Amino acid sequence: MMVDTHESSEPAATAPCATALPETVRRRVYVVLAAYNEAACIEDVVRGIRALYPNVVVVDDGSRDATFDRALAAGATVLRHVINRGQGAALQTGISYALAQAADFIVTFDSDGQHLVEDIARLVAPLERGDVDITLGSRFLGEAVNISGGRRLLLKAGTVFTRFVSGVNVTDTHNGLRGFSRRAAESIRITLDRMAHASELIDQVGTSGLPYCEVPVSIHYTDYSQAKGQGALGAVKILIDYFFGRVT
Amino acid sequence: MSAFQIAALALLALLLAGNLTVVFRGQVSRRVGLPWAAIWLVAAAAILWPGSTRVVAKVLGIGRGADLVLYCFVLVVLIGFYMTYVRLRRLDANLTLLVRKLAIESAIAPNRNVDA
Repeated sequence: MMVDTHESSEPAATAPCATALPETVRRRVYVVLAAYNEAACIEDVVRGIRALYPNVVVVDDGSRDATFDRALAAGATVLRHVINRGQGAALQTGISYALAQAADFIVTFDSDGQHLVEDIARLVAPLERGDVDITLGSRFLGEAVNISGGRRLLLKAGTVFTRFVSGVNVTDTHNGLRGFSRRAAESIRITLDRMAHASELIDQVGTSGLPYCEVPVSIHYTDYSQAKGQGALGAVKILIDYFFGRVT
Repeated sequence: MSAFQIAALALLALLLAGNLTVVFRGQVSRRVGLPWAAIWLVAAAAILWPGSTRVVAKVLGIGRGADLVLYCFVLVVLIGFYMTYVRLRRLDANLTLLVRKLAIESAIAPNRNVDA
């Protein structure tokens, strides 16, 4: 699978699918999931990932349901935030933990079933080759199945905004599928706890100076996940949070 | 002195006394406590000598003494809100660090016999 590097001006080309990573590589990957009240599907999601990747870390962000127990039953290492702190905070907790476990590659993955396990390999392959330190999943380079028109518009607007503010030129700024080399994970520090962390992450990708690239990935929207997503009001909250985060 | 002046000055005297007490007992830092004491003193002066606000306003190019008081009030409130907001955000961030530390320290790895 070819990726669109930020330095290259050539369009992304497709190559034979490099989705089969050897076990020796998969063993070095830590897949981090932030989960808040995802008892309905966390078990399936974790089992699906564990079929290929033994190291799955689920950060239960103060859920009120059985997310913690189900994730543990499915074979994940589970961390629990005793108070809900937000997705950004939960991801940073998972990343910090993975680094402490000597992870070589860290992939963030959504816990609501929107992401495909196959895409983890697409994110890790360029990292493992040493081409880049950060891989960013893009649904606009890949597939966004069942996305509603309104959501697509909102995401596009968010993308334009982030490109303008951070100078990082990517097509999908709010994609939870991201891959980090150890070096990149160590230099990233998410401080905006709630949904504005995505914009903060992109900022840090830019200022870190580390090479990054986008990777086409698929997002599968279901009624369940759409109901949980951010609406227009959520977008305004993200904006406020982001700006005050930069100012304070 | 008018009834308002008496009542207001009495209240301000109480506030000032309480303020200085907590500052000198060390319950509140001087950096925060003394500016507040200054505010009570300035308010007391403005109430004791109402004409003073008109004088100061004129010097600053503002029409009325009451307008000066209003503008000062708005400024103080806005600055106060902002500082409080900043402090709240810092508190929030520290709370997250605490929650994170707890989470990492009590991480539970699965029983390795679990069927994947």
